[in-house]
Amino acid sequence: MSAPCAIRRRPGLSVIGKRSADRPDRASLAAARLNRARQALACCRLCPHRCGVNRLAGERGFCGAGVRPCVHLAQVELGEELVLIPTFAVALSGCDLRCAFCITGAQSWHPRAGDRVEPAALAGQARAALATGARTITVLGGEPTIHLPFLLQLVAALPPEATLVLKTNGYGLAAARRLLEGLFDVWCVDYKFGNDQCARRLAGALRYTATVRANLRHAARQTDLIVRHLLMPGHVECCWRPVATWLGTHLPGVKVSLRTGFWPGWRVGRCPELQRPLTAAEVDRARALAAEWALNLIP
Amino acid sequence: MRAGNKIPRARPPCGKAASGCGLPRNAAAATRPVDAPQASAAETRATRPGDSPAGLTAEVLILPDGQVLAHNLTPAFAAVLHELNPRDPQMSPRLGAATAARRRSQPDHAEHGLPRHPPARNPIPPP
Repeated sequence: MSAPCAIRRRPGLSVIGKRSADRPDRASLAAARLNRARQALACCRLCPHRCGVNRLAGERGFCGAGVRPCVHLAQVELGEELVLIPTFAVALSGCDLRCAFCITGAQSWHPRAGDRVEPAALAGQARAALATGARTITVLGGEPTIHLPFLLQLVAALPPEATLVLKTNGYGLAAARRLLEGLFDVWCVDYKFGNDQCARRLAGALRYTATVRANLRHAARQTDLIVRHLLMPGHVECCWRPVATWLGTHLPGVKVSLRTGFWPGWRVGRCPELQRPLTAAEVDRARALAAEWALNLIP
Repeated sequence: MRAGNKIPRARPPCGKAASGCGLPRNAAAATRPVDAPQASAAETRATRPGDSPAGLTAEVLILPDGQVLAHNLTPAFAAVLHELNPRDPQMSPRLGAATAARRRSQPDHAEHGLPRHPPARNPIPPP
């Protein structure tokens, strides 16, 4: 990872997230959108898979998610970006991507991995974590945006003064992001692939580039945005270069978290180039590209 | 969907490269096939009420060159890794952030006449 970079502060905003005075009453916003979120599951088109299944009636689409998610992890963590930690991380099971390099695949992909936990119980754990030093609450997956009703209930239950972080793969469609507008202080969005071919081959993703860029533009307009990219062996030129180019051109100054701790595991056996760690040369090349586009890398 | 944090070569207190010396044999994670699911996670049971439904979880992968990748990095596990290499540039600021946050959330015991209890400097007993 690059040397620590000063986080650029927009005038009037806190280091991360918005000032509490600028935060809308998100509990009310979330509660008001709950019915729409439930109805969206009746013919699910929340992501580009557009399965159209009726999740309320028990039908399952690509992600296999139902109406209520399971939680496979809820704990204080230090592995996220420095501006976010310590964070109380809540991980919902189920995902609309199938990344061959996923390091939580056993829990992330299985929508019933973990336990059913009520939003109020999670909120209690979050309060306890905040009381003992956690700075933020991060909701992640799998992919949390496939569980819109639960997500809204959780946001409504969480302390209103807490800084909420949404960690998402950026693969949701407009229907999903409209329902999440104004609820999270920080969007931490993965920009995984620099082209649709790699996205299709490595993650089974359709129309990836257009979808994630739309989410990035949306998030940049209405929240504090961190763009994450997991540097992958053999994918510096085909993936990181286009990502860096686009970010430098269209979102100059956005916080970028370049993750260089690639972990060869899960199903990398399907992709020969992923069956090894990154080389020092690849990391150096990636940092050089970041410098070329004057990206705002954060630790 | 989360990347591991890369930690430079782990070094035992003796200062030699961590190529199998200076650490108990059971300290290293077992090597696993690259296409196996992440099943052999290092896990510690939650000891406080309200912790993770499945207990606290942290995972570590030790690469053949001695690099240590950590995932789901809990504060306790970060402290362990910090002991392996106190000068590691990734772990020090994270542990520092955790310590600072914890202090902000707690009253200053000295102001109330209570004795301070500094954190243990060597939580791992020497081999």
